[in-house]
Amino acid sequence: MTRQGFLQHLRSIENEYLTAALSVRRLRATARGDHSLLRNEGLTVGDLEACQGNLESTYVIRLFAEFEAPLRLYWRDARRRASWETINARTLIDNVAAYQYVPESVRDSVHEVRDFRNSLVHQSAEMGIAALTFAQCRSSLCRFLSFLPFAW
Amino acid sequence: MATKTAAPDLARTRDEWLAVTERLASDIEKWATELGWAVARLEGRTITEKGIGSYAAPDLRIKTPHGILDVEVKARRVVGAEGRADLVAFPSLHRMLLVRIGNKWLVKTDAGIDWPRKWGKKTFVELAETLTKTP
Repeated sequence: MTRQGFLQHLRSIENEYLTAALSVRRLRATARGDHSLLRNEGLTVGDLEACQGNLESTYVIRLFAEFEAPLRLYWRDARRRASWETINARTLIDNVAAYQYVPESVRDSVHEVRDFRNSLVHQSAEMGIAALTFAQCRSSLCRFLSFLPFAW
Repeated sequence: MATKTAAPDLARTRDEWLAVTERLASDIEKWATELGWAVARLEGRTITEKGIGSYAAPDLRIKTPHGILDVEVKARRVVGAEGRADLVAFPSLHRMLLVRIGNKWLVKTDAGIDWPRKWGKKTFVELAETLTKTP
């Protein structure tokens, strides 16, 4: 397993997201002049709007799940911990940060993404949780991963 | 009372950290120059840390006989330490960590394992050569 591989994987998810966003925008423009396009698939303009409205959130949730995977593998393989499957995300992030001497600002940014992800999953707009863009989330998570070992 | 003393404490932490990193950069600059390696100060990277503020990172780029080695200051506020700077080889991105604990630089591998030798010129040369030689 290499750090670079995981970083590239997170960047590829951003490209997937951008591709999906572009596709939805184009479909919306096309469907405006051809109502049968959606109707033939049993879909409505409302479905398309919901898809567009939830797209960024969906990809942020996916991005965070993909970010957690290398942390859990690090915990299992580099630190030989049996808790790699059950440890909660907050503790996992804090533990990896401590072993890898991660700057506090980098760790804190990841916790902001984690809080934002939680608010999306639970559909709760909690006070004090900053709304983040996909690009901000990707940047914070990749920065944290850059502090993992080159390979393990 | 705590709020009154917090600001001077943070300012002192910042000033001490700037002095420590400047000392690190000038030591490495001196050692590399003694070996005839070209050294350049890399300007333009700013580090911003909560409670400390923004400061210019005193990064270095060293041209060793085997390749490029960068010295990158990472942060003063690091989980589990009182500062961190990295030695990073290019283009391989192999790195070693200099971790500040108890007013000393401790050398660690990329995985956080203790390096058996103390930080100093001899260790710097050994790490610079090993990092830049490794493909």
